[in-house]
Amino acid sequence: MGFEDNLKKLEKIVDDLLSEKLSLEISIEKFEEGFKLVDTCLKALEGMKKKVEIIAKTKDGKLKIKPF
Amino acid sequence: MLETPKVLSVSGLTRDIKEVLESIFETVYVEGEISDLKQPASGHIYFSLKDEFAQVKCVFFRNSAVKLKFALKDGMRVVLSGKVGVYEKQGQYQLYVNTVEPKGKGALQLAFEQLKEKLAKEGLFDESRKRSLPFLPGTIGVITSPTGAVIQDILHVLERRFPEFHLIVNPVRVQGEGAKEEIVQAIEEFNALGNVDVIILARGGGSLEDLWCFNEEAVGRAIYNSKTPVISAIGHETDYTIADFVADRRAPTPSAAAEIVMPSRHELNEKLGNLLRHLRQSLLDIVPQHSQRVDDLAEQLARGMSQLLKTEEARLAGLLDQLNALSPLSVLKRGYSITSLWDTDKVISSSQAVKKGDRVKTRLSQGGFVSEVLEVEI
Repeated sequence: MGFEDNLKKLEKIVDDLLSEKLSLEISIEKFEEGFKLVDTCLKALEGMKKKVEIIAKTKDGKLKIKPF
Repeated sequence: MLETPKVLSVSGLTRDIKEVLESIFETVYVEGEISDLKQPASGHIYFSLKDEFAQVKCVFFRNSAVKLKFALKDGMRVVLSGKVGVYEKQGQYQLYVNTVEPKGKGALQLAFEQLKEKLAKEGLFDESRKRSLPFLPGTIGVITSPTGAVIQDILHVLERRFPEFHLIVNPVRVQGEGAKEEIVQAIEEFNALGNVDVIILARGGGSLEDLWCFNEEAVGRAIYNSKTPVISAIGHETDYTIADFVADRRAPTPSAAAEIVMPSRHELNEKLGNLLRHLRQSLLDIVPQHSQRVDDLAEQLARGMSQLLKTEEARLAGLLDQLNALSPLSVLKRGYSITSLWDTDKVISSSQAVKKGDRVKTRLSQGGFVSEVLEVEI
């Protein structure tokens, strides 16, 4: 699942939890899911690295990706 | 004596006229209105140029006509450049057209307007088909010149906004000969790579001529056909090209495209932080929120218990009645008695359990007495 989907899901969970209409069991379930999503989002961000590349074409017309 | 007049052949006359006309009118500029326009499959274009009082036939050969950016139309006022020629076979003079400029506005401007209208009619600009951009693209493809300020501007903004980005430049010419073909190919290549989440098509400012390749139909269609969403970032804020109209998102400048393509890392951290804080708060809220519930439940339970006890009491009383009925005491009430050995208290149910002289105890409904066995009957 994409970062944005996770973020949207997390926002929905927080909204639901703050609406105060959930049973204790569901609240705790949602809460656990929310924490997992925060963790997933943070891990996704931590996994990103700066990389700048450029496409070069070889003589036979194939694409080669090199550092920019 | 009369001189015999010099007799010319038709061909000779025509040839003479041709020579005179073609030498005098080698390069002419003529203004008029296009009529009787014919554009056969050969690629040559035929029409008449006319004004109120006269008209002249015009021929626009294919090798000149292909350079025309806009489409000719009957009734269009134009300024032609060309030369006068004579078509000997039909004894007809005509204009061999070199260039056509629309009267009143530039050829490029007109071409732009014509293409814009055409593609709009086809639905290439429809808002409904524009794709949303990825929120956090893993890989950004940039189609632009690898030298120059544009790519540097984009890199600078990204470094400030979200330093951990992945970007691939697909280098192309952004003006002049071959630019159109390279841009179309670059869009196709990024689509073929498969890992590019969003494409930025960028160029710095320039004249309408400089930006022309972004007004080419082929570029517009390549953007339209791209599976990967495209952000256009061409020229300055006031420049609008066909590419801008087709693109999923138009950025006013290349720097703005970089702002659009990546979220701010700082804002994202804040957002996640806020969500986490709310999540924690909700956990803290759960306890008091639900302790009320627990109290309610306890009360309900207590109420239930007392009800239960009442029911049990009644049942118990019933059981006691039943037990009473079975009690030996109630049997005694009816006049029966129980006799047991005086020393061991063992109930006597058979005369064989006693012998003469034993002391026995007799229990009655009210009180009892002790006696001695005088005689045993079997």
